[in-house]
Amino acid sequence: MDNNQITDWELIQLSNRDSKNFKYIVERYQVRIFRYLKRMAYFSNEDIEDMVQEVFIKVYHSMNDFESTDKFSSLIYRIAHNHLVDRIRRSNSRVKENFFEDEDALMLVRSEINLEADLASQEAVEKIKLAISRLPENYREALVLKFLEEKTIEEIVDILRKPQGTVATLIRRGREMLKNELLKAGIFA
Amino acid sequence: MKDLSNKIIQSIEDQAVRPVPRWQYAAKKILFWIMSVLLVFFSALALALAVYLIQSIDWRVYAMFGYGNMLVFILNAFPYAFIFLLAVFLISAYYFYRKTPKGHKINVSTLVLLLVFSGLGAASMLHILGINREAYFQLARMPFYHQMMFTKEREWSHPDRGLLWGEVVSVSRNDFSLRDMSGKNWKVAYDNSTFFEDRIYSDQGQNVKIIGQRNGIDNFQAKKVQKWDGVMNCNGHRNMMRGGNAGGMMGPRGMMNWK
Repeated sequence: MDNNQITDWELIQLSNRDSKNFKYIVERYQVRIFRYLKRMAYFSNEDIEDMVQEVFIKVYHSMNDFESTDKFSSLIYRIAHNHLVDRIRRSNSRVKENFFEDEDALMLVRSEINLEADLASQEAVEKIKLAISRLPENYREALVLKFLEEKTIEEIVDILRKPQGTVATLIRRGREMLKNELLKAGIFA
Repeated sequence: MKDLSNKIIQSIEDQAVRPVPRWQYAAKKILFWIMSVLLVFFSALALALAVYLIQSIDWRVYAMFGYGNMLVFILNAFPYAFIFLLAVFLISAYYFYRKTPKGHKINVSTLVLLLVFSGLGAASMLHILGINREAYFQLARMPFYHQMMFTKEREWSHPDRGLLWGEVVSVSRNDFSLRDMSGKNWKVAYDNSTFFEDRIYSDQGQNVKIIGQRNGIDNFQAKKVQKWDGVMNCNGHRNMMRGGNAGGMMGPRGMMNWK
């Protein structure tokens, strides 16, 4: 079966008939969810893979909550977001510094400033990662969804289940905070 | 990362996970909508009841209740319980609306304004239609209601302070019998100086409020006798006011003329 030709809605119908078809939904979204979870908190790759599994089992359990007019990816991200919040709360783990990938950190900062080539030294990258990890979780998540996951405001509204104004504020304030952190770190003059 | 699809399918089969049926989600969504609407209705009812209670307070005689000044009286008479219920219902309506499928999309301030104005609109309708009044009668039938709440029934049940209300049981030349809220019978005396707001009949069910003076265990001298708004008898039942001639229902003196 050519997975790419079938819509999410059709895949859900197929998965309802036979759970084995759910495999195609997993194949379509697992990398994105893995990356999203990894960007949001520091966990080992094995832990993230376990979380991805748990997320998809929950997605399978509640896939009928999806309406054909909505975006299925928003439902999956929402479940992943809730799962992550729950997991962080349960493990009582604090977000560690430097858990961002170098490329992600630079990409997030590029949305804010035009990095000079020489600024993108390893030392600068470490400072940027530190600045990002210092952002409060809700602001960081809004920035990650907007600039790394490339979600629209409407999608972020559905993922975080927050009003549009609140999401816009989270992104705007998150950017301001990030700028300030970068200023403090001497990255951004 | 590894391809987890086969592992996930295996876990789903091992754990016998089944998708929640679509109808359950539909039922949940409907339930949240119904709860939102119901809670707005209840908040409107609480507000309308509070308005009714404030409206029904006899402000002219507040000093006789022994509160001294108006502020103390207002603080005592304020319908805290209904305002509290109004807040609880509105907050709950907010919570349930947020749980509806698109409920998260609306801004906090917009939703609060929407709920407040819906509540105000519904409360106005309940007030215009007199449903708050009906609801009050039902509540007033509940045991201990008058002990817990500031009600005019309770406040007019202070014969020592010169305030008495009740149901007229019989009428004679110089006095009439009255049964108060607790079921106690009073002999209420009147004379030429007694002011009557309207006419009084001896047939059961007519309620009056009296300003006067207590003269013993169950005697009361009336100075002013007024209608009890024609809404309740001592047992909290509706009382249909009898107007004009109540044929065959006169007391020993017949129909008294109120001054």
